Amino acid sequence: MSKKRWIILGIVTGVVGAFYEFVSRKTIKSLSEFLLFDVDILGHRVRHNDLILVGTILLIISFVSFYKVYRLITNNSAQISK
Amino acid sequence: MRDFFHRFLFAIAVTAVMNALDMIYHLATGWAVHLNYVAIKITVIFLSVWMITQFIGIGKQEGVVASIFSPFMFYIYYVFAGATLNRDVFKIDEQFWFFFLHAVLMGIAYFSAWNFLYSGNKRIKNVCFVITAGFMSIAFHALFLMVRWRIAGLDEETAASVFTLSALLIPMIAYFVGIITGILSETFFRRKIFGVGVTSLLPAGIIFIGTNELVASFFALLFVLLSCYIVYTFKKGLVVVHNE
Repeated sequence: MSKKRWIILGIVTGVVGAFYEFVSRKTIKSLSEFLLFDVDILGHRVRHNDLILVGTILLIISFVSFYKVYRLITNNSAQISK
Repeated sequence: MRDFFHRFLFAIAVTAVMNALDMIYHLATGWAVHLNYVAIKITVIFLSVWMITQFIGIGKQEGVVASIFSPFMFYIYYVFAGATLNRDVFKIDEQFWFFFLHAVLMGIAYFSAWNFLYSGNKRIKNVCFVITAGFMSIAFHALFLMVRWRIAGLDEETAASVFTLSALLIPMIAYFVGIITGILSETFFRRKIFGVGVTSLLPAGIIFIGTNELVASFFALLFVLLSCYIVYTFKKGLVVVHNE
């Protein structure tokens, strides 16, 4: 994947992940009904902690994306200096 | 996406060893350990380690980053998630200082697996193999105990109060005695079959004598074989990739 796509992935997952992770349950619920609150998925009731876990996973993806971008930049500059 | 399977196994090994070390510390110092807590920790740490391993690579810098980042994400989860255990009865590792402990344990787990892959010193390789395979077997055994209690119908607070260090003491001794004796017998007899036989059968025998449970000893046999398979498989795949 190109550097640009890693950046886009990092920003999107970072924004969505931070929203579920850091914004309070009350605010998320009042913002929209489609944000998976009090919904049954395959017989499992989606709880607040499940959304926090999803947010954490998205933040992990975001961090790894930016780390990848950093590595791509440092590898490129190392090759140029050679 | 080259070499997905071996990197996946490497991440499983690091996650399992970190969790085993963490569980032993918590049980030894009177902090609660229960299935939901371990499941979340395994998920967060496994995903962090696997994604770094898969998309960035395996190395010293990646090890340091994974050791700091994984416990930090777990801490973030704990800060924002709601409590499921009664905190007046059970002590959980949600204070900030546990982040440093988790980072150290994560570093031990990562660099044991890393040294087993790339160290040129045979003794260091053997020590790292004992740490990785031994603690991985203990992690599987602890999960087996917790799942068995859950299937038996124990709620998470009862299971947390039942799970003490004494429940893991005999398996811990059995796995380390088995794996160390296995390495010594393989070195002495110069045949791999002796090593595999002793490593797998000795822990099962010790657990059967210590606990008088045939099911637990059968699972011990499976766990130690699975751990050795994981360790040798990721080594086989990743060392070849490293040398390319």
